Amino acid sequence: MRLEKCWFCSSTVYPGHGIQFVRNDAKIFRFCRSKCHKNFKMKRNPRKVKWTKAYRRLHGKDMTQDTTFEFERKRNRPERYDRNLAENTLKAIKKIDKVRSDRAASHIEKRLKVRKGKERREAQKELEQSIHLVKAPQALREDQSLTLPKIKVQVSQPKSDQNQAMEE
Amino acid sequence: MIQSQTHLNVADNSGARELMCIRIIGTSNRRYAHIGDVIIAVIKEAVPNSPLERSEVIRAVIVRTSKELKRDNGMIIRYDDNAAVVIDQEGNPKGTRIFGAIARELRQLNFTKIVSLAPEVL
Amino acid sequence: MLAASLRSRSLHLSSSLLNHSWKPVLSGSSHSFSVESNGGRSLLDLNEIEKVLTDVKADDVKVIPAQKHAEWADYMVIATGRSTWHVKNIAQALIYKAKQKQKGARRMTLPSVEGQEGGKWIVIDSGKVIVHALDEKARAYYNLESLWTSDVSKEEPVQDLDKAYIKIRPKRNNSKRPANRDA
Repeated sequence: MRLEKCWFCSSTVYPGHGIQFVRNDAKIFRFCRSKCHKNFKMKRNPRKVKWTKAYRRLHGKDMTQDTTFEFERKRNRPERYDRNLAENTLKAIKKIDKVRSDRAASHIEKRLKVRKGKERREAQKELEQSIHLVKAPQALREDQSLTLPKIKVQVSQPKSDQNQAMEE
Repeated sequence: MIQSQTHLNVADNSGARELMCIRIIGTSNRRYAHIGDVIIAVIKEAVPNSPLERSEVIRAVIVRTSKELKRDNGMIIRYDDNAAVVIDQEGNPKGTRIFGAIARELRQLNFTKIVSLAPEVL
Repeated sequence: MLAASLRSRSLHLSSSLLNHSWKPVLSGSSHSFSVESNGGRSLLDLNEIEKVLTDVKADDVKVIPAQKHAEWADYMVIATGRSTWHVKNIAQALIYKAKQKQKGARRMTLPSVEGQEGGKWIVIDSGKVIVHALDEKARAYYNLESLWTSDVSKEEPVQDLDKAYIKIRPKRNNSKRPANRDA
């Protein structure tokens, strides 16, 4: 039995799961679950919905080109059963899957590294530009020019006169 | 789920454009018809200058439903519209060509003629 | 419907189902008896069908490989009968041949036959080979040859996200950075 990919989120549709929609021009849309089907009915574009594979691929979040994807291609010619071949394939599947997941993880790491470097550079720049705003308290006390000169403010007297006037 | 008063599109070139189901053939008091069922329908809209005319009563086979169709292997299929193919009393299709995708169930229900005229069998 | 589904099942698996009692095929509808003796997928081979058709003097026999048109059948065979009786005879001869071939088997699979009462267009569906016996008028009317020979149904890739949808605003999408920039 063939495992198809969900049209909306590109995950695998296992037998007995999901629903198929056939448009009148005979194009088949397969959905893995009602969530994807409902999103399709709302005419959402999978490239603009953030949780789909299509979005992640388009925006460089996930690995797009890799030799491991070749193994999962759709083949229309049925293979003749061969016991040894089937055994080897089953072994290979595990290995290939491991390779793929490792590569995907390193891809994400690489992607995140770019942002970390950027953040660090920005922080450094900010430090250089606005270090003058921060001075240690000891430095403030020693250097008089950094603090405002103390000025005595005279409280004016006429205020009390007015109060007396009000009383009268 | 086709019941009487349901309007259906016509998926062939017989000359009818729109049908209205008035009876489902089968047991009495049958409520709903599905893909592969024969219904009696009245033509609500017809192509001008065609052999079939408006308000004519005909038989038709349902070939697509927008209600989901469940297969034994767990597959669920839903079509875009409700559509039927006009047939005569002997089961021969009135039209010579069929449009759109058609369910594979029709072959098992002995509508091989319709299936063999169809462009796409799913 | 039960009979038809049984028939299809017996076509696919040659496992032993229940022992069906023998019923003569006289009505037009399909009956389902299965056989394990014929290991092949179809009840009647193309050669046998052609031989039967020449024996009953069917006119204008055409064999069309229909795989690219429909995946559910390998060959379409069209034959013309001179009259309703002749068309019915063609169908009977084919059924008879199918029975002869499976003689002695525990269970029989017979091809499903459609339209035997009318005799204008009879379809004998024996799995992968489908025989259409029509009278002259019906053959001209339905013009089956042109349907199966001319237009090849275009095979589009089913899961094609690139072309598939409805509302894509390509300009917007292009303005974003290309997908494989840091891949």
